[in-house]
Amino acid sequence: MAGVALVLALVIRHAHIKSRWSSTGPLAPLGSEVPTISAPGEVAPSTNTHQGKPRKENNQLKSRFVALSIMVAAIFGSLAAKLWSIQVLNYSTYSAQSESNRLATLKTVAARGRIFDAEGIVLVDNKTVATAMADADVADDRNVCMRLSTLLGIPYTVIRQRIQDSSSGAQARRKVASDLKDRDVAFIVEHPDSFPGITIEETANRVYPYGALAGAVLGYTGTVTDYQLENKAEGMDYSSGDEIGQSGVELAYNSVLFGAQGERVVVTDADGLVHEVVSETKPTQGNDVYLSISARVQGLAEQRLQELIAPNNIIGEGTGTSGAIVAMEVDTGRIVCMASFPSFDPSTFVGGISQEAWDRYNDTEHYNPLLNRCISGMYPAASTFKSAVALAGLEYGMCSTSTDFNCTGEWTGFGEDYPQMCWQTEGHGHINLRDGIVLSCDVVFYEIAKNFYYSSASVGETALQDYVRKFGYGSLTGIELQGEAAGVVPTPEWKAETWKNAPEEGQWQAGDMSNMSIGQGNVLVTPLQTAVAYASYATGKKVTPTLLKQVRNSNGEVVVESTPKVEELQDVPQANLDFLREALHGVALEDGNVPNLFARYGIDGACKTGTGEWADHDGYSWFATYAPFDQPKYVVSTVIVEGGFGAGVAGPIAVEVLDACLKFGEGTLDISVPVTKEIDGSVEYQGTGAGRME
Amino acid sequence: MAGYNDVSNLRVPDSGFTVNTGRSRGVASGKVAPVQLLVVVAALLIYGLVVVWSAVQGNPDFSFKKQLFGVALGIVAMMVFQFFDYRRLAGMVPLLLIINAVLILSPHLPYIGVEAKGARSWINVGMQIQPGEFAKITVILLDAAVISRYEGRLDSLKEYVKCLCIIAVPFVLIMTQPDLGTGTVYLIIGIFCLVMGGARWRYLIGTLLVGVSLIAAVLIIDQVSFASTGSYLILDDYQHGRINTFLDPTADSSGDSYNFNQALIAIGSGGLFGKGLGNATQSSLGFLPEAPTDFIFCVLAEQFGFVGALVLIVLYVLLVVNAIKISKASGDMFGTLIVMGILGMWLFHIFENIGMDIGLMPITGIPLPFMSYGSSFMLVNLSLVGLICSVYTHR
Repeated sequence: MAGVALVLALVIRHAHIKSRWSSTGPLAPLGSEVPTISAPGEVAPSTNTHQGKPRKENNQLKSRFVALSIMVAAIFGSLAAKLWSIQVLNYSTYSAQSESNRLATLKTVAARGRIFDAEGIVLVDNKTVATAMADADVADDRNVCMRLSTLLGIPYTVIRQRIQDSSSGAQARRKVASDLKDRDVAFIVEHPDSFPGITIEETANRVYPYGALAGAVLGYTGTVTDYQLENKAEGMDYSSGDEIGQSGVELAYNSVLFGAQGERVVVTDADGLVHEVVSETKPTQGNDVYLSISARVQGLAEQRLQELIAPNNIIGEGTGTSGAIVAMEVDTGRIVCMASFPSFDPSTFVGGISQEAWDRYNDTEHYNPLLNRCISGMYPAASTFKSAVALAGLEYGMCSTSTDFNCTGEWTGFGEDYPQMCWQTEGHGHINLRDGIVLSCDVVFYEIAKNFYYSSASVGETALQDYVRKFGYGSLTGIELQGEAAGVVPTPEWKAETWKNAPEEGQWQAGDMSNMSIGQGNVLVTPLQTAVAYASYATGKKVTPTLLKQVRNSNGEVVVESTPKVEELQDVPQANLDFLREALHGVALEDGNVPNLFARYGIDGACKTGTGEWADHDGYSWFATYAPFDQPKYVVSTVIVEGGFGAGVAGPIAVEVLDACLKFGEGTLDISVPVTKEIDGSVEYQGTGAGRME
Repeated sequence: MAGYNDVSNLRVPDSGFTVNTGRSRGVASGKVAPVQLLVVVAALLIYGLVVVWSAVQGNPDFSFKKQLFGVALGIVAMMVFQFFDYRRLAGMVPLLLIINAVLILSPHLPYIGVEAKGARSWINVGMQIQPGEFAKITVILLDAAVISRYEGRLDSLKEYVKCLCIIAVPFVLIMTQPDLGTGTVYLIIGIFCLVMGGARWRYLIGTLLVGVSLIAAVLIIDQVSFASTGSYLILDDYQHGRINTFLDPTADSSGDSYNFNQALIAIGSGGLFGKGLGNATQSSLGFLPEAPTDFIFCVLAEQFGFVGALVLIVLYVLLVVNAIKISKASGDMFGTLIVMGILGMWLFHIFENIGMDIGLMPITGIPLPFMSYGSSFMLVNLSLVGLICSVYTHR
């Protein structure tokens, strides 16, 4: 370019274009005031004119060359000095920064441990799947979202929503879709330019071979929340983005199921692409949890609940609206079955639950399937509570095995103005304590309550309450699951506290005592509490219920074996227990249709029915039973909400489950595990009008 | 024409031998070429090619072959310039002005002018070139031609201002593109020619004061404008960003600050002896942007450490010393100032390019002579070496 221009310049000069500037004459050599002209061939003097005849401007230029040299020295000197400071003095700082630029430590997620039932049937398994992850800003890239939508067959708006969802942290990568087809994975991997910000990750997804079976017990997993990160238990090394247990066994045994994360140190470039792996620690899969639950008994219980409550897979078309069955080994507290209906399928949560499903799960119209009613459902204990009240009465001498009660159907022990009814309005006539339990005569227990009420000065205001608490009422059973409810055993203090905003309502009344004595009023219990109480009647010991049988490592070796937690009951004389057992045996042998329930299976059991009142609704149908009578092994506690009479509705299911438990214990149970679907239909429940009173 | 022949027969003050070869025109020196200078240049070229080769590995945006071709072309240009008698251009100020104007304004032409990154700095003539880059050669010639007229004694204020106006022309023209970086190079060339051409210190200092006041005024006007309207009036946002980054590199970690910090990491992690050839992770893994072009020094310093950087600095010092020698030994003021203009340009490029990597100067897109990837600048530099050779041989 410049060369061409110069040639041009010469041409123009040859054309004699002259200017004032170019006519100044020939150039003089440096250092001479007057140009010295010499003829060609002439040899110039060899002495140095510059040295010989110093001139002003010459000196000036000479000094400028000196200045130039100084400047050059300064430039290169400063560069070298600064380089020395950076490269030699601060080498370690920059070297470390370069390494941290170059090397990245990637976490390799350990697969969670699996969950088995007591017989080794896998209830929660893992499946390795390919998941498409997106950077948060991909949501703004319409083209990429459209391409993903077309490729994966997911609507554009859904893709965008998933990428915009910041629930796993503002900086976290967003899960676009899980369980991708190999073909789609290959397409994304081979076209990185079309999918900037999208990467494919191998993740282990939870798999539930039996669908909704035991869903509320097993619980679900989800990405760790900020709150969980801030409050993580000691020894847990999960970090942002990890999948951890969020409810049920998954949460309770998260520390066991959660494996040791692996680590890969890799060389990455500025775009985050991995160039080579420097070192790698393999992840260790979490330990497997073996539950005490029998999937087969659980399946039977859930099936029976469904057939009863939602015969056509629609809640409201059967009997009752929800229900719970707990079966437990009486002497160890190991849970054999923990059925809550309706239940949910934890696979809905795999890869992130949709808003629609979440709303449905938390909607009363769908009867809150996430709720584990066995531990979190609080219901009036009704007549199942009478066993504890009877033991309390005997202990404090408020009644004896020979006390003669008179039931006329209406009781006015607290004055004519406060009449209370027995469920059998025509009355039981003269009746003793044993028959009072067998026939569930309310008046017998009103009398006991009255005696407690009027003896409060001598035995204390809360003697009855304190005594029934021995059997586990009013406090947590201590099962490992989160979300357990303590229930309510009302006391004057409790009532005053509960009604503190309306103190006149919070006055402790005599009627509170009589209502409590028949398990009504403010008494609230969970099905598991009832199971624990009846197990203690059967054995004289109080157990802490557990779902754990053992923990095995990934090699199948047992690393933890569950040990029963059992405590002796204090102040419960053997004679009183024997009396109660005989009475409960009497219920099974004498009370109306109940003997047929046991006879059908040839079981010699003990039981108590109950029908809890709920204004304008069918009653809570209760049935608590244990067997064999002489050598108790299993206890079953059942409640059907709005089910009606205990003996008629809860009873048959409870006894069938009890039978299954016994056969399971003997190894003769001959049923398989059903694959269970969650129920999502419901209509308004009309009820049968049953059990409004017992 | 006779005057030039006469000049060719004159003695050079500092050289120890006679220059008259008896030829009517052309090479008058006893030596054909400045061997020392050429050895230094050759060493720089080889060093540069090694570093560029390592920097373009695995980077599809750059081609080592293209760089080799640029060097080859440059050597041809160098020889053309070496054998061309620079003295023919002495005093041709209007012509040089016209050439500069045509070159610098050519991107404004329809059809061939190309606008990119907000500047009309390129023309497309089969390939895209930046004429302002090549105009560095003609600017040097223009400035040297203007000032050499005064034979090292620019004592009149009127004449000084006249020189200043002419020197300012290429700068004003390039600011129409606009291209402040190249414009600054033009000004530096002018300053070197003025200082070494004997302008009075008084004038120079006065000019300096006026210049500093102008820059201060520009910055103040911009800040006032930014405070009131939210946008700068004179300089662009990116230029302010670079000034701010220079003043506080830790301010933000993206953009200019990011580049600067990555450059520092590359250089610093090189240590005393470097990571070795091919192990420049900062550039090969893409942390250092523009590694083969603007940040080539970082690639060198990362691979060869302080020792390698020092080798480069020594080579540059040798280049400069040789150039100064030739400048002093020039048979005429024009030759002296040509070399001084070239020297000024090189010094500025070197100091700015390395200086911005290590925080001594703000970040600009000024390449490193003989090292940076890019054929145009290589061609310009080797042409300038040819001009120096021409000054050496024609005296």
